[in-house]
Amino acid sequence: MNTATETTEEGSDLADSMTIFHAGSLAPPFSQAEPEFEDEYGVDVTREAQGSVASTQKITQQGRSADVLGTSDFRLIRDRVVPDFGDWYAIFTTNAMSIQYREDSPGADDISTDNWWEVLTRDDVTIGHSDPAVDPGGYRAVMTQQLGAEEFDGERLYDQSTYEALRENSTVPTGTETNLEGQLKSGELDYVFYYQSISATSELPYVELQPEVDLSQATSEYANHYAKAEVETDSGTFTGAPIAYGLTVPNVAESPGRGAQWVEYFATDPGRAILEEQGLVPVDPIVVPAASEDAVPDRVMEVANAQENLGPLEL
Amino acid sequence: MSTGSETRLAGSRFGRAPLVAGFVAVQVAVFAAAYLFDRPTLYAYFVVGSTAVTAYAFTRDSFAVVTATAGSVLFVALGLPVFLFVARQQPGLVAEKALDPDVHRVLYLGVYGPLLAALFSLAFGVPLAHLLAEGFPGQPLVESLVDLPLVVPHSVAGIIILFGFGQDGAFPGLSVLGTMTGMVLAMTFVSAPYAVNATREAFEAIDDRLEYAAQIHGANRFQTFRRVTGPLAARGMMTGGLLAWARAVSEFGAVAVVAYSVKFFYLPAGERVTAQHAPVYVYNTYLQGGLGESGAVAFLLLAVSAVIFLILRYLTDDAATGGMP
Repeated sequence: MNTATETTEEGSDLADSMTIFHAGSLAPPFSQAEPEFEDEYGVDVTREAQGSVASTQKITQQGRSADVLGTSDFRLIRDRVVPDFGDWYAIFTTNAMSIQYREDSPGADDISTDNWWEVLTRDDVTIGHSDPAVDPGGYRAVMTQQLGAEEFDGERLYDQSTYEALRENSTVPTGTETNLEGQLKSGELDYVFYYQSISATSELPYVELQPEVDLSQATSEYANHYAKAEVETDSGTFTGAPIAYGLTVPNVAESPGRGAQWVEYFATDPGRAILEEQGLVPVDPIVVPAASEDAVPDRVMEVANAQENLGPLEL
Repeated sequence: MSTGSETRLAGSRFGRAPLVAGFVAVQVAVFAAAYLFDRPTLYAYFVVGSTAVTAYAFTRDSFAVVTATAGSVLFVALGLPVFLFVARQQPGLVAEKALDPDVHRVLYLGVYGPLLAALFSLAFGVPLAHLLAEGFPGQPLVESLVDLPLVVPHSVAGIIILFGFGQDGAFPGLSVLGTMTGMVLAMTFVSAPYAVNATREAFEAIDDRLEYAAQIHGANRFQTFRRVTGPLAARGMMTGGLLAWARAVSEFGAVAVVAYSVKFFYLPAGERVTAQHAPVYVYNTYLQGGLGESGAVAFLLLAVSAVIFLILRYLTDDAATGGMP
């Protein structure tokens, strides 16, 4: 622990091990960062990848402790972790929805960014996405399909009947996106909707989607457009929003200083480079809610920007 | 998973039923008291202590005291968490879930799917078990293959089924993703080893001379199986089937990959409906509603399974009284 530093207030928090709960889609960047982070800070990192909801509930329902919680939707932290299990969070990266397929999927030779809806609505095409009720990746897939039929700048990609045909071909074969790739490879699914970070790191081909449907743009203009999408599920109604990932150090952390170091790592160049390499889009600088600015650890606040909102989304 | 010390006493002697009931009543009362005072630790000590004392009181045999006391430690490890789980249930929530038609479907599927898997495992596992009990060249290879599913991680088992029987697999016409066929195949993959191994042990326990005797008296091999070895191994088959069924009931990983939501014919409604296998449903309930709600559903599944266990145990014990010692 020879890196235990000048910031004496955090000195006692710098244990030699730390625990991170995070969304499955954060596994590639986090696992890539882990050895470098361990070397640099002299700490042993243990990670548990699961769905975002499950990861959050490990803290809020199971009484477990982690030094960092990373979710694929910052609103999970905003709504479920703050204020009882944490005081602040940081929006540190965004992601995009994409469509992945096999070389021998029906229509694979024709598909491109400009005609994906035409190929996906053909007969005998099976589209898969995860369960909207339990996985943000699931309701975001449905939102992407909905947004194609919504006008953006006076134009839309397709009409309502195309949207209905897309839904007709869609099936929900799993709870979380982690299983979709196997189902795609085995030929049970022809096309799957999931995060570009997953598509980009897999060897299968994928289609990038239009920014007006891929939920990747964290600006007011796009956020207003995304909000037209609405998905009803057994566990509530979800409204469209940019895919903004959240990180926090829960107040049940055993080593909050280590947690803050991890957040800082992903707010600075080494972490950002890894995010980009793994198909994610780092938010630069990371955004923290203005209302809880005082609760943000110093080392994080130094590299963050406090904001009241993100487009129409309150922070 | 019967309750260690009580059944030993009940099994060894007749006319002890009131004593067993008394012992159980004392255990329940002490557990309730410990739970109400929020000191479950005390109950853990009580189980071990009371078992030792009871064993001594009834047998005066130090060996029995040692085995009973040691056994009760395992009972604490297995039984106590289940008791606490049951005690923590909120009756209102359990009642609400018990009346929920969605939960009815889940419980129906959670019993019925595994039953099909257990029957499938037995139908083809019993002949294999018979062969294994007799021995044949290359047997170690087949044995390893039978046991292999035990070490395969369950989500991987699901992927193996998808690749084996999916669109690009051995039977392209077979639809496995989200179908009853897929669910039963996934369950069979993880549970068949139990059916085969338990049945095989039963066949191996049969004295070879009985088979020879039957054949000397003119029975052919089919008749010998039907009249002699089959009935003698019936209890082992039942145990194997029960183990396979139980294993399939609890399977999460493989089923979640192959048949997350299953379309099946639901007899009470007389139509095809979609539901999830019980462990998958419990997990999703946890994600959507939290520990309380998922615990209530899990409790119902546990209760239904326990009743089925008890009925089948009762039936097999009955059937076995005239069979093997």
